[in-house]
Amino acid sequence: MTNPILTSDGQLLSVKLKKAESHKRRTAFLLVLPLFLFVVVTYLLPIGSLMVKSIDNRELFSYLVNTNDSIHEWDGTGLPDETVYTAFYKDLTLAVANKKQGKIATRLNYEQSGYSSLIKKTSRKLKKFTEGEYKAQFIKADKRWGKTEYLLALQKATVAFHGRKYLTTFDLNVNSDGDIVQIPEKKRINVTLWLRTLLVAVGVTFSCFLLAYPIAHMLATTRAKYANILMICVLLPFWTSLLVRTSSWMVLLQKQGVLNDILVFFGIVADEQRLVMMYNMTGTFITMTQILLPFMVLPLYSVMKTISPTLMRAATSMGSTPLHAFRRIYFPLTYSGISAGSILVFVLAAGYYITPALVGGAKGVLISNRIAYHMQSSLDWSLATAMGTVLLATVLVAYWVYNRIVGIDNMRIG
Amino acid sequence: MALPIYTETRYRIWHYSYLLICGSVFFFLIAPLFVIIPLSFNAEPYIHFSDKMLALDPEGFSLRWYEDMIYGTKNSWGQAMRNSLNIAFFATIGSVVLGTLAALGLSSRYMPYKALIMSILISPMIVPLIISAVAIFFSEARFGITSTFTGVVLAHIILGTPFVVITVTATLSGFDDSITRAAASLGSNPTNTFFKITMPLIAPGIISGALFAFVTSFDEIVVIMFVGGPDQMTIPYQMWIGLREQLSPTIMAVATCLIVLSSLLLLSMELLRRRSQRIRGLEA
Amino acid sequence: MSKLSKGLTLAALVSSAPLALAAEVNVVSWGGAYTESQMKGYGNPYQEKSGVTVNWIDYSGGLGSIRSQVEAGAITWDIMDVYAKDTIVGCDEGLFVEFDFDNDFPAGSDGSKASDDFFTEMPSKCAVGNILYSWNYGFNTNTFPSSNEPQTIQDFFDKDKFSGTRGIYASAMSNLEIALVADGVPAADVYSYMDEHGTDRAFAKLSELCADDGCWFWSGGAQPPEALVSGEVSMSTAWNGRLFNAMVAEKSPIKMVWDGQVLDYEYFVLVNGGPNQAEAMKALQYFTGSEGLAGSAKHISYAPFRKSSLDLIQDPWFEGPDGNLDIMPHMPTAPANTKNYILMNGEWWADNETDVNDQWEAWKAGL
Repeated sequence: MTNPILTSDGQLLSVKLKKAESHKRRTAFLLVLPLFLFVVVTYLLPIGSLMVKSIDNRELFSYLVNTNDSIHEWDGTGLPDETVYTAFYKDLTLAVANKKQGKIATRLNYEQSGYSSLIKKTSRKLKKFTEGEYKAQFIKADKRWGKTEYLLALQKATVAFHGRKYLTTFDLNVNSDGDIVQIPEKKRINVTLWLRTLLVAVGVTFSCFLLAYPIAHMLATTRAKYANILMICVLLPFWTSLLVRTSSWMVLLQKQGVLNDILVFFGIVADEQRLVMMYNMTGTFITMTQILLPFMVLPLYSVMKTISPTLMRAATSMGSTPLHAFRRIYFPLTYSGISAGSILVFVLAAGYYITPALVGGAKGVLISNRIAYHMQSSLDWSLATAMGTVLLATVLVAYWVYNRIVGIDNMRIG
Repeated sequence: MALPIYTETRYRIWHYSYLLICGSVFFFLIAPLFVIIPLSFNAEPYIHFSDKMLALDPEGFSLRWYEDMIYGTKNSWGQAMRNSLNIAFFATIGSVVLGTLAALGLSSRYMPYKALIMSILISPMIVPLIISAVAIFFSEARFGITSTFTGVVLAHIILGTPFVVITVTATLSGFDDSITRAAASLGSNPTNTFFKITMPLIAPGIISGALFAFVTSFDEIVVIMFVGGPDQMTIPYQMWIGLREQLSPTIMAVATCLIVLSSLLLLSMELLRRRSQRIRGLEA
Repeated sequence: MSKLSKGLTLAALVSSAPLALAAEVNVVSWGGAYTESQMKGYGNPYQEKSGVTVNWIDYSGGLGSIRSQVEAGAITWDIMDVYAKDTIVGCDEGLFVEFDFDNDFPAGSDGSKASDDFFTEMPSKCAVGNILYSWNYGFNTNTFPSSNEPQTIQDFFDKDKFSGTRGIYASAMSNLEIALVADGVPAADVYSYMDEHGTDRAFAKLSELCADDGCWFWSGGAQPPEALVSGEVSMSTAWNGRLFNAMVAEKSPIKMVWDGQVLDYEYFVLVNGGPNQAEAMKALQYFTGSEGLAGSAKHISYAPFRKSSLDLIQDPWFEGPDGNLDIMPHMPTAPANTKNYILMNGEWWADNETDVNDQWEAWKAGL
């Protein structure tokens, strides 16, 4: 064994080294700490509480304090007995005094349609109720109080936490037997939107890929002088405001817009049969493709730039046709660029809100618009957050899949 | 890209169709932007080309929308611009400071759990914007800072920092650590080394990160719809309301100005890139 | 507010845009020509008289925003211009202030007390009426030759005789009513019909209209005139005042059809807990006084809610770009325009809007 090495001040080198390294680790950690804490506190915790909000029903629970206990003893068949109605009368009277009956009406309406008008009507008649015999008086005020489904909905609503918003996210509901069924057809909307969003996201990703590949190749292979100028064509839209780009498409694609005018001028389309390209799926698709194209071009470009031109020349010199060389040599080398661009475009497309809201009309709206609708119009915040959580989960799954695929590919190439 | 003289016809066809396809895609990317510019000079208050404009009749054009933009009292684009610049300025500073510090830490060889922390730090970029907007709204509502300047700046810092982290770590990946060690060996303390040696060399990365953060904040519309109030009216918010309700071509005038602004930003980034390549001794 | 938020707000105040020193009132309304008529009719005169700055904020209706503000504890609005149904719902939820009508609002210029001067009783204790307006429809005169112009509400739904895309309101309100009337239900029975038979018949009629990209949806008042002129739609429902303003101020080639109009009332409400509640109440008293309401009729063709205001209107009263015009024949309440009209029922909508909207959104998405 050799002599242990000592530093100039007599300490063991290995000890001194460890100290220096841990000092460096601490410094690095401290540099990262401010942003880390910032992101966790202002961003990750809020996202977590978002998920909690989707199952949180404590507000409605707190308004129906008396009803909560008594109604859970009811077995769900026929009608509950007098104690439940008495308890509910107490809760509703207190709510009217505190002006909370509107909130109860809206919240209960999410459970069972018709509750909104029922509660409001009953609240107005509440003052005229006499002491005792509440069940009969409720039913006399409105016959819906004698219907099992309404009382069942009340029973379901009086829980502090519920997962039912996740069912609504997929147009499902729990019926009186406890089975999970689809809601009536005329009200089904969410599943359509999920499928539409996925289709649009995949479609836009694919069309971006088709359009981006040739131009990324051109940018990566032409002389720097031309490539820089052409790059401006990619970067200028990228740096321009999203609203500006969307509004320019509104101008181009509307029925009396530039594109239709050109088509009519060249006689391709008759004036009375102008193409309807705006305020529908077509408008959303085209606009989103153009807006997301730079996100596909840039990763592809950066990967293609690293591919040496000699590879293709070597392949052709060994007898391969250019097409074959492209398929076997060039294309596989660009996989990491393709996947990086695809995941980026897919995630952005799935979450898009502004563009579909402006150009989608009624048929081109996506799931983000629905989330915003619940946040701003119907104010069913538990549903909005439940849908947001499902969207987030979808995106994370997409990332996980991407990781797995790229991992496998990398092993194959390397 | 001239083809060698011995290229067969079918490859020539391939080549020219390739050029045609690329040309059309570039056109597809850039042409929509330039449709807006003539519309902002429309004499009639509608967002489509009037017959006079198509006939290139000078009477069909006017500057009334630019006047309305600058002097108009109802829309107060001036105030919106002031708000946008204010918010973007503070958001950029916040993003740059936090992001650069974090990037420096992440690039160190000794950083533990690098991949995990990196993905946490760039998570705002990964999550769909509507979810970020909703989450930030609820958390800011709890602290009572919605509809305030601080609330919006905070939200924009959250969105802008990932860009700074990414660009600065990318720049630092090409950074030669031996320079700092040389400086230390010559007697410089770490702070001095940072400001005199490291900063100038990673400045391009910091500046491009700052530009990304600035543009993210300046263009931001979804989060501010939830978090901002009437006093935080920004240009994108005003444009959004305009596109959905008022539909006056003043929006086209604003859009034209924004296109000009983006072009200037792009130009400055290009000049910066060339300068950094000159400094590093690489050829353009 | 917690200490943290107080500190943050202080920092924000120090660093933010100019501090408001003068008294202000924030009024939320529908934008475009309507807000302009309010600004010119009573907003600016009040500003000059009292020195209080009146800020006008645009919105597209509904209680979503104000509820969000209340939940977040950051109320920034003082006065809102709302639909009847929203005054009922908002009042029930305590969002708006309840008025003591005769004490809170001045008597009419003819001396009658406030509750007598306003045309009808208010739908809720929190509402004070400002105008009567109408949902009618308009068409571009260049699209249809004068020999074949649409004249009835059935013509709006007749795609064979009158081709082209239709513009309709993005929400269910007003659409169900005109669909039923066009399908044969008498105008006075529309709401009782829906109470008894539900909304399916109206949706079926609308599905017929909107099949094959047949409909374009508008949510902002300024959109229908623009879409008519640009040719995006051949006919569109609209708020009558916006169409009239386009015809007069912009000389647009639009004509209105009054058959099957939905006559509706519009109200102001005072936000409970708004930042400038006391000032806002004073402003509201001026806005809804006889002169204030008559003033707004100079700039848009909506009928003032007060009888005394109508007496103050001496035609030609409307201030057009080329001089004054008669406004009374263009009001929704003019006898020539009310031959076949539906009276909007705010209470029905207050009770049923949540249920109907669910169905409406699903219907739109499935078109």
